[in-house]
Amino acid sequence: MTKLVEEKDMAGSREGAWAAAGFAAVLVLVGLPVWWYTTTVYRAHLPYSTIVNLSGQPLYHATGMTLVGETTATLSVELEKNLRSMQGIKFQISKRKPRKEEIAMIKSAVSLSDLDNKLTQIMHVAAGTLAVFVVHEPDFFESNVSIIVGRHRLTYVKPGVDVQLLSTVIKSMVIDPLANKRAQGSKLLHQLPGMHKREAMRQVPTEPGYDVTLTLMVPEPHRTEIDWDAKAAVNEYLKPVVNQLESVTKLIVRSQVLYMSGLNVSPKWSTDHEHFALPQDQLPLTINAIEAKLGSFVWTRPSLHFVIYIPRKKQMPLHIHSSDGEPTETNSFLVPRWGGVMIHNIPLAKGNASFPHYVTLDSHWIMSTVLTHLHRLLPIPSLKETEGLKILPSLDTCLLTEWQLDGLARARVSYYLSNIHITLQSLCELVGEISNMVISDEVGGWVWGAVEEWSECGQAAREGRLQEATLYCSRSFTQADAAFFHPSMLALLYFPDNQKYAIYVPLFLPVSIPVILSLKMVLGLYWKPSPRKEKVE
Amino acid sequence: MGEFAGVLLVFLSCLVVTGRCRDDTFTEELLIRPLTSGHIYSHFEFTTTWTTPEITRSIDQYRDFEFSHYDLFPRAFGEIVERYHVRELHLSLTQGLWRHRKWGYPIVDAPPGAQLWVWFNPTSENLDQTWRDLVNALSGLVCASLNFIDSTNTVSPELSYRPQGLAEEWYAGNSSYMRYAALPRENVCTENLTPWKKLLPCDTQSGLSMLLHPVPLYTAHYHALSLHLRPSCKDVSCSSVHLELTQALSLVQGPTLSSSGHQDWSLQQLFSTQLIYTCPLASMSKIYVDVTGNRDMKKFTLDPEPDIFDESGSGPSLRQLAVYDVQAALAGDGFNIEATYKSRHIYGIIPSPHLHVSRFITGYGQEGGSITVKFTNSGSTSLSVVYLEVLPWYLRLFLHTSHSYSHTKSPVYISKLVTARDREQGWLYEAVVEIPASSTIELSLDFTRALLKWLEYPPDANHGFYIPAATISAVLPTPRNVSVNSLTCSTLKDKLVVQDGPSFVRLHTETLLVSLPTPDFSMPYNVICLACTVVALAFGPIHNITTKKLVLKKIENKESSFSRIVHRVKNIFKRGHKVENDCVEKDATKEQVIVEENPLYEDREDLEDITEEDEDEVKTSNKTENSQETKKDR
Repeated sequence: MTKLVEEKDMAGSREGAWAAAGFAAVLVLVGLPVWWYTTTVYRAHLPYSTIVNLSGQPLYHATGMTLVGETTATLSVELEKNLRSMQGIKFQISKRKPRKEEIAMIKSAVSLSDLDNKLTQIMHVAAGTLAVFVVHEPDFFESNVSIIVGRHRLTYVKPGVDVQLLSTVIKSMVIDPLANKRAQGSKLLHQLPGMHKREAMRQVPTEPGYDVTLTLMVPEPHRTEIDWDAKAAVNEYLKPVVNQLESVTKLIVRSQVLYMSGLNVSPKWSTDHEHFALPQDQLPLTINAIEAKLGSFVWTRPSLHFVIYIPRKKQMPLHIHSSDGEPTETNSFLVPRWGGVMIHNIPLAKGNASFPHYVTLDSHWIMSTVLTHLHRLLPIPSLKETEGLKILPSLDTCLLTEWQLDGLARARVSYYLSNIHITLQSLCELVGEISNMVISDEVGGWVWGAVEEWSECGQAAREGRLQEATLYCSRSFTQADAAFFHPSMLALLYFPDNQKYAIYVPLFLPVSIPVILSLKMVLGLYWKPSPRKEKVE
Repeated sequence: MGEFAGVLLVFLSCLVVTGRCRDDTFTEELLIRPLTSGHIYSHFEFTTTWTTPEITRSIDQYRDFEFSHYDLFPRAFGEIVERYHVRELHLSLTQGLWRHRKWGYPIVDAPPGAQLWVWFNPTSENLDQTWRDLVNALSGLVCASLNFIDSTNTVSPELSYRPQGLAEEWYAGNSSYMRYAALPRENVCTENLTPWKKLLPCDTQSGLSMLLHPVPLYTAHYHALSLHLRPSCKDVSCSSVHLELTQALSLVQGPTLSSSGHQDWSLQQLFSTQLIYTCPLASMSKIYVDVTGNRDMKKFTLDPEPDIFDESGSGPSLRQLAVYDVQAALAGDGFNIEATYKSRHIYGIIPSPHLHVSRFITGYGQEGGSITVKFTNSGSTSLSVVYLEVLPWYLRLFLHTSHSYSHTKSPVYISKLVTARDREQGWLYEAVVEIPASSTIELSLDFTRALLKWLEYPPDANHGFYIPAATISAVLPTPRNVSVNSLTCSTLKDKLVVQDGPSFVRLHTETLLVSLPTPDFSMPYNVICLACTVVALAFGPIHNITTKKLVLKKIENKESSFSRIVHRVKNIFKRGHKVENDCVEKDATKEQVIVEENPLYEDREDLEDITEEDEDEVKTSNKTENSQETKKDR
């Protein structure tokens, strides 16, 4: 009797255990996948490892340099030694003897600028490279001058040139040293001394294009009627530079006139100079008043604003004073990463003249100031004439020389590379940290594209293909930015965790507790029967 | 040669008159009209026109504008026009309802809320995407929620919104170039006024815009801001064209009755400020006071005396305007116009205008309903009007029952019908309705209400859903009550000249409020909790029944090994008290037996039979051990 019952019981408990196992199986095999697929955050696959690999890629520009002329071997060796220390640039120096026609050219040339033009035509110095020509004729060099920098990519040196000086000149021709430091990493920037740091921070962030807006501010149109043909001025002065820069960056120039609104300044009368003085510390406050009217609702490109301000009659003439109390020469100031403001004083109307008073503005002064500001806002390498160094003056002062364009392109590629690196790396970090972040296929595609172009860009820079590098980098930068700032990335970011628990707990707790507890019984299926059988027997 | 001389002459004359030749002009005008109802209607109009060879070319060839050097034309707006292929743009932001029956027809009619209609240049780009980008840019520009315009409330009506500017027939007849949308819920306040004022060349520093103080503006009965861009003719012969941007602001202020019952008003009283400076950039700065029927100043007098009187029209459409040239009048001091009435204002029956329309919802409950439109033609000739209804998809129309009923059955021709698709597209119902002379007809559109998804409800769902105003366009036989019937002119001065003959009017009806079936919004959470509880409640017993068997068992003192040891230790100490132990022993052996009932258990009889034996073997052995121990103890 006992045995029978026992068997029955055994069968019952076994059934129960199988049932419990069934529940657990359904929960695991059906419940878990359903839960997983309904709540999982969609994430396209991202090339994490490639990003890490590319982050470690060396960041330098290969720059070809040809040394032409009958020189001793020491010049090239010394030069190479001196240039090797430069960070971010690898020089590939080649040496050759001058060709016959080149020598003939030197002999027949009238002046150095003539020689510069003609030599460039026959030498074909490729974009992104430099050439140093050793000229034996001393007639071209003034006394004390041993290096002359040409308008294109040629530099002329005397045979016995100071190698130290030559390498310094070449270093600052190749890339703007501050831009180079900034691109190498922000840490280096902090180590810079104060003045240089400010200088480096001034440059606008590198983007594929900029909106350049010229704003003429006329606070008192009833007193003065300004005649300024912005279109002609832009076409004459700014257009050539814009065209020149086209291959490197796109500038879209617009102009506008703002009436009845002035800069928010309170200058003091300076009896020494017989004019109103605007102290330097007031300058940062001036643009606040007009900022509201400068924005664009259409473009997301960064803007460069150049404001031409006609002072009010009661503040005329107005001059900017530097910190030492002396009026500045240019009467204009640069706002870092924003643009520039120039104060244009106009002749005062005679006492009994009828209003308004017609004034024509000095386009040349305005546009040359704008160009100076523009040069300083972009990382364009520049040279200053020092002892032993002469720079050939450009035919048109506003135009850039070819080596400056190359230098700008190099600096921009460096910035792009470090920006892409930062953007993609922080994207990866964010995605790792925030589990709610959705990565749509669109964003994923952009990241893949950006990574691909990024590696192409780095490769091109290392091989000295400057134009291709610019192209690849700007595309990669645009895609990386588009991915990073895509609105879908933020879609689920603010869904709080406690709400999830509020939904899960009422369902999962009452269901999972009995199932988990009954697992003990399921385990019994395997372990318990054997000892019991022994006992029965 | 003659041409050259002409050009030279024009150039020289420019130099003589203004010192330089501007290619853009700015004018500012204000019309003040005392209404028969005792209200004061004031309409500001700021017009900027711009003409350059490039603009002329763009207008003629239907190409995008390319501006790069802005002077009087606002750059922020110009960039939007340029970027999004706009040829003609009309935006209005309105608070309050214009009452056509009492007030006549306004200069620019606008429905309550926001309204935007745009004619685009023919481009290769996807126009729907351009439209989406445009509304986003505009909502940034005027700080309005225009970004709520999407495909569900955008339509392209065929007849109602033809281009107002220059357009050839092939373009004007192709409604695929235009988009129309209205947001009836939009509120208008100072945040819209400030950016609107920023577009004016003189800002609010001087000129008529000085009068735009927010407090009197936003306490008015009706307030409409608008922005109209169109290509138009420079002169009557249309030999040259220009781009015209009109910024208009209309106000209807409440009856300004003094304690004596007079309808006196002044600029100071209406706008809480006087005019102090003129805008030096304006080539014209004028204020017009409508003195129709008061030419001889018998009804009210104006102080200061107007410079001149303009008169136009005849018979019932006569219009007399007192004109003030502000630039000449402003000589240092402030400028104020005061109107003093001779007699008390008498409220009487106001003769209704030629055509007026009212619209309302009929039906009860939340099941069905109908939108009823009542057209009243008080004229002596029959009128055909274009009736445009743009409805959201969540009203499901029954077009087969849409019909008109009146004394004489009048026909309805549907010119365009777009049926709604859920969450994608709204209804467009555009019809031409014939209204017989001096009669009223009603047109009704039956609908049912759809159920929305819970996320589609607005934050205050129980307030109801706004239905945009219907648009009625008609050509009236006479210019009676019509403010503007010469649409081709640029300045208000020319627009206000009454021209005899047929006049085009466009009216907007009331917006409607429909309440949809609204759920309780805590419902989803409640449903989750309830459903989970039910599942949990059901799951527990099912799990128990299927995995566990209920069996009969004796309730005994469950002794764990620990308690057994304790027991043993106790017994060692209490060896002397055998009697007591005996008692305990007796209690212990008196084992209770409980039968647990389980209706599902079939072997109930078996269960009773085996009551005694049915014990776990282990426990039995335990028990025997226990009894052996107790025996030992004894």
